[in-house]
Amino acid sequence: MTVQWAKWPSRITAVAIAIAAAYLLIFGPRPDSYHRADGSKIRGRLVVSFWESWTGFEARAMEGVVNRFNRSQSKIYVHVVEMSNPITKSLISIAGGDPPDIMALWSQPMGQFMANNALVPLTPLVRSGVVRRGSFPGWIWRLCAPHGVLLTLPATPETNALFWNKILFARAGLNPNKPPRSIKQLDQMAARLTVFGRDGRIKQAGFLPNQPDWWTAQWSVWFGNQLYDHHTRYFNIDTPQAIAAYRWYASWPKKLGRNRLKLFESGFGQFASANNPFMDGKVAMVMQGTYFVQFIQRYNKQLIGHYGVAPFPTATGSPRSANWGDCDMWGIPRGARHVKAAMKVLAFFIQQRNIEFLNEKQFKASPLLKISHQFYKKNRNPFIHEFQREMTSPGIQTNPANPMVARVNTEILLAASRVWGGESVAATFRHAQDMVDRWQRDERGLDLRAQMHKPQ
Amino acid sequence: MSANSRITWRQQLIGLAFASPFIVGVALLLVIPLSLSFYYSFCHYTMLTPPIWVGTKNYTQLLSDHAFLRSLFNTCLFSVISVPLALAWSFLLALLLNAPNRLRNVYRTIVFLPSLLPLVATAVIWRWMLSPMHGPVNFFLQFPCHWVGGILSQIALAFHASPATVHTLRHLKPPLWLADGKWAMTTIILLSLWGVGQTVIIFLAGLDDVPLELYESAALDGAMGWRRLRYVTLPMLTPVIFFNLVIGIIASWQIFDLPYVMTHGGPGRATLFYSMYLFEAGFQQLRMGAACAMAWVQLIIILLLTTIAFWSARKWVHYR
Repeated sequence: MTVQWAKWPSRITAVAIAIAAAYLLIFGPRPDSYHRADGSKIRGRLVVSFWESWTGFEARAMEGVVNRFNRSQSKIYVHVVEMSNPITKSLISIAGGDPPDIMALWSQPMGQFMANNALVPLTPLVRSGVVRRGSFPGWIWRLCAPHGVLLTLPATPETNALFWNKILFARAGLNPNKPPRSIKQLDQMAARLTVFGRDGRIKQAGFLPNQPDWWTAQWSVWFGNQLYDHHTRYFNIDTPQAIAAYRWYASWPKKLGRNRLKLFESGFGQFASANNPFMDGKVAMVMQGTYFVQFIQRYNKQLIGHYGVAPFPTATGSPRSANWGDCDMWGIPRGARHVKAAMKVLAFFIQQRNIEFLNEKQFKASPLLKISHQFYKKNRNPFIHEFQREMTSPGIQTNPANPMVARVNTEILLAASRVWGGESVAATFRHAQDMVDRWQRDERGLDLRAQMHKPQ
Repeated sequence: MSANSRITWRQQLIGLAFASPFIVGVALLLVIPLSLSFYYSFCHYTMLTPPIWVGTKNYTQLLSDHAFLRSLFNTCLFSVISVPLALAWSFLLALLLNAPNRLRNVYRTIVFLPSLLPLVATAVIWRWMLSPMHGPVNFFLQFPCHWVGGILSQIALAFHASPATVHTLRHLKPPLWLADGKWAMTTIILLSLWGVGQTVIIFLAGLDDVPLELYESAALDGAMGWRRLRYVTLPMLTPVIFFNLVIGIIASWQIFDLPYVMTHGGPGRATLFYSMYLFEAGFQQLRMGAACAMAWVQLIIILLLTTIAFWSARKWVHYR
């Protein structure tokens, strides 16, 4: 009898677990039918998975285009997954054999994708006339179709410009409507705009070449350097122009005081915040991209109407002779399950009205050469004409489709940080060039071996 | 005899069947990945294209890779300083927390709590705390720095130091912590002491395990205070110290999250650690072959250090 009673607790526990399990099976959580991005047909529609990297208002703009597509037909449903660092995740998913159907990428990793044959050529879109070479400015076409084969489609392009704070210009006795045209003028104006406190601390800087440090590896472009030779596939890191650029770069901590500058910069807030050094008046001039206008409108409305945008000064003083361009792009990774459906989606995305909708909502310029009047009318970026004009600027350079780009950029950044710390510019960049040359020799040797390993 | 051996054979089979989930798991998740990574370490491999055999090139190239050598040096430095420092700090805390006190459990909880926090959250909080401009640490350090700097500059004047030295001392400022290449490593080492809670708990368990009669005997012999600690507590704790030392060495060679979130390896490469560079080479530069070679070098270094620790343990670890 006592034995029977002793069994009761375990029986009750077993029954309770069974009831709980049954409840979970019947009423428990299950994936939303549309969120099952496994490619099976759901509610009669094929699910195409799309991994993209935008957040906030930029993501909402992309969702707007996706919603347009999902409403436009009843056979395909695009499921958007917003994520950080989609490049690494996509590469791993391709290696693992389970990539998305469409992925977002930009110029820097393009070379790695190309070298590893990781993207499906979009030749059908060219053959069917959806896109053609003449649809885009030359530099955008080169980005999307390295070596002539279209691998990606452009989504939102960006070029850089000088943003200057007119209030601080007027306060320093400078003409608020006359930005610098040459690097020399930039230096002179920056000196007048820099303000020190009684304790010797920097209160306001005219300009800082490391704020933000997103283009540190590209500074030589504005000094006339051709960073990459497309014919010889050679990275030019220690040319006289590059040395001049980084001598200029290294002059800033010398002029302002290395430790004073560190202390001053440690007070800067995040880029996308009201404490952005340009937005809260700590730095009077910055180099930024098209999208920055939207961030100013979002985080510091008081600055609206009190800042200007102009081509960034060059060493020669001739505007539009140099710029750095990049572009968010869409591609279909190798191993995608629904290539045909993904092509249809991309063909929809690249339609003029959709691409203009996306860029207008993101305050950016269109990657297409053909622009509607509506685009200019609807775009709330007051400098959209300037940015759109810059799209066809002859001096735009971009990251080449070379798998070494990420490594080379890291090496230049490291060299830049050394010269910022006081090391010799010529010796540091000579060393960086030697390193890159050696990697390139190794890479070419491997290329040749890979060719030999290819089945005939 | 034959019946016995049959039973044994059958029992062995049953035993193997029960152990099979573990055996299959180890084979799938350890043996095969390890073997593959060893093979890839001799290949040029990007994960997306078939590996190309390059012999020992990945290993020889490491010797001329400045970033690799810097990460190796940084990790060695971190390990050499942080492991003994963490051991000493944890031991000291454990001694304090072992002292009879009404609030002892509260103090123990306070010391243990930081090790429960995710490392990323800890890193983000400390990054703000150590901000030279807005961080509370430098805010509170300003006054002592000014005060100490004043005294030191007077002493320097008395010793006829150069005007530059006197000026530097007079304007002594709190460090720039993570923004300064000279201070960044020190900051990471100091912050690694923040999460010593688990080591402290192990030391506390060890302290509880020291037989009271040994203390009584020592007291009868007139040993108190430092002598009691030196000749009773420390020898009895050597197995615990050894355990913490081995775990500390392994953990120090795997440090990743804290510097990755706080400095991303910078300024320059001042805080680039081994695991960070391995991750960068493998998953950002797609040099998986080189990353595999680095992982094997790391494994060999850890094995070597652990072997040395075990070999030396024979001389200083006392088991009861």
